[in-house]
Amino acid sequence: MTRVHNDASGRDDEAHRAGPDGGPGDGRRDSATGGGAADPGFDLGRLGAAMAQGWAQTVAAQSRAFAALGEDSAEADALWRMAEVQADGVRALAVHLARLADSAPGAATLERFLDPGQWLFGGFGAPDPAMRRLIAQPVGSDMGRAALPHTPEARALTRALNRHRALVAGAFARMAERFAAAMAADPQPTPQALQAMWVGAAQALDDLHGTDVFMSSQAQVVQAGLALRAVEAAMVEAWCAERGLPTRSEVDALQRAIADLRRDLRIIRRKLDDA
Amino acid sequence: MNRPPRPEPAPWARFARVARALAATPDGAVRFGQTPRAAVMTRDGATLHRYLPTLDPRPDAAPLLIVHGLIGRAEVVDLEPGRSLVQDLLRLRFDPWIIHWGAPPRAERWLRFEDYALDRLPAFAARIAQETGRRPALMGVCEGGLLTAFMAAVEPARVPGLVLAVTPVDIDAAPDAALTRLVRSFTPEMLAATIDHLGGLPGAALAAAFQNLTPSRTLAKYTVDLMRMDGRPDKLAHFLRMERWLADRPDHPAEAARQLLIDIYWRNAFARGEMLLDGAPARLSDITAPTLAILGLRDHLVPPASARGAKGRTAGPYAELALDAGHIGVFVSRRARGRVAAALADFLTSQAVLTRTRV
Repeated sequence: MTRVHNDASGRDDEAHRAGPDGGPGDGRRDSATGGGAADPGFDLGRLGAAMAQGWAQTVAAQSRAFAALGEDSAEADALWRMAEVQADGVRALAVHLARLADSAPGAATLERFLDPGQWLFGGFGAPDPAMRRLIAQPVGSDMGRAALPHTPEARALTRALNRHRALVAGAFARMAERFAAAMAADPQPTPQALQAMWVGAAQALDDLHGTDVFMSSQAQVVQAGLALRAVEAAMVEAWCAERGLPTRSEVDALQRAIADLRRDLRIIRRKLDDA
Repeated sequence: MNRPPRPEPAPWARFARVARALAATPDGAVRFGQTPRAAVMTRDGATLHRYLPTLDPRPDAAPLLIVHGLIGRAEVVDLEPGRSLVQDLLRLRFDPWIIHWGAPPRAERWLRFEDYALDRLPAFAARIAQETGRRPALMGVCEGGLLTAFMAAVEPARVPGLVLAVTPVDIDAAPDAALTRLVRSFTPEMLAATIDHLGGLPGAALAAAFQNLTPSRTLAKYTVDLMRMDGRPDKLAHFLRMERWLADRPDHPAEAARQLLIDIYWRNAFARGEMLLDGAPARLSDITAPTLAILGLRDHLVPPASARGAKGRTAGPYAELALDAGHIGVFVSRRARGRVAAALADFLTSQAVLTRTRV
């Protein structure tokens, strides 16, 4: 950025931009503004940087507020569900555009590249479908599971999720604060420098992942999910058994018997070969 | 006269260029494992392939059977031209074979390590001996190294040489490894219950777990890293090929998953000499084959200390090749290029291995 000194006050005047090669501009005043007083002009770069810094501080404040919500807070759960719905909505455009790709990995990568969530959060905390099913809150009343949302296990899962999300929110708050601090040190970064600042700030997420607190919290979420799913599975088994339908445990037992028979056969065959 | 540097493209122009390049890369340009091979034998969903030689194989070398684990596809050793251990070996006139374990459905959830290491693997090795007149040396990759080591421990006479590439042999040697800490943050009972509920370890869940070990890396990978590539076809093709390989993960059978996470990672049973297969011990000390360990000095999934766990524990000679690379980088990085093939060439032609290949 070119700085043109105002001879009268010694004040920097950043009305002139750098040339296309990043070097200094020619320092000439814009003739349209006439001679005499400096033209403050409209600096999109400075405005964008200020907005980015303000956004980062807002994110930090919101994340801290979310982290402060108690584990029994229905509000925390509702806020998270709302955020998930919004994220899915935003991602829908990326999913749609990704279908234009010629290759399967190209489509998958393009979907992530176009997803604002990927740029902001790197898909952090977005579980894969199998894990999402494990920790999903029960909905619906089919197969006799009407009482499921009101069980102690469902409440325990809500609490575990809220605790875990509070931890994650704290890390995002720190990430946003680091970004804001980096912006304060370099108020008008290039786009590449801005990206590097954000990725650098994401170290706060790595730091969280390395802690025993995070791993313990994650394990508690899984444990709570398993407990709820066990209750759910028992309900479904009973429903199937009453109607004479094969249950999961019956099918598993059948398959296990086959696998054990094949293993016994292998051991016998090996002993015969050795003999 | 120095040319002035090219102007930096506007970020939005670069973003659009990258997005267009991602969409336009043809599917045929991003396939892996393209080196020609022939299916020789199948057994319970697994297939033995032989790579078609481009030159007459050397008569003074052991055949090599490459055994990947149950996580991810075996073609990490044949990712693309220029990054293919298989092609390097063929150029040196060696005889590589490879096993594809297939994609076991949930009905196969009761498969255990012994079903792989003491049934399918010996059957395939016997077929290679029948076809070539020599018993093959075994090269296990990651969890595949455990499978080959198990066979070498239980049937030592059938394994002339053992290569353990980035294999987690001694978990306690690197207790602070991210993967170890993640597994041990769950109790064995929770691990068992999770595997039971999921009917195994879904491939997509494993992929997500690996990515979540380094969230900042994942954030950068699909954003700034792609921007840096700026749509260059060669870099993009390599990136998407790797992505295809990473995404192509079959589900891990449940019982074998329990053994991996609980016996191996939680209890470190193999390194401690406490591993049981078909009710009988499988001990490192029973391995008589010469062993070559290949490890990545920047491998954060299987740290070097864990990968050299066979050192001093087997009954045969031990050697190692340490590379300045990560877990997958030992096979695909430019820094490691050619070095694994060179080490294997020495190993497969050594007298210590050759004398043991006689049928």
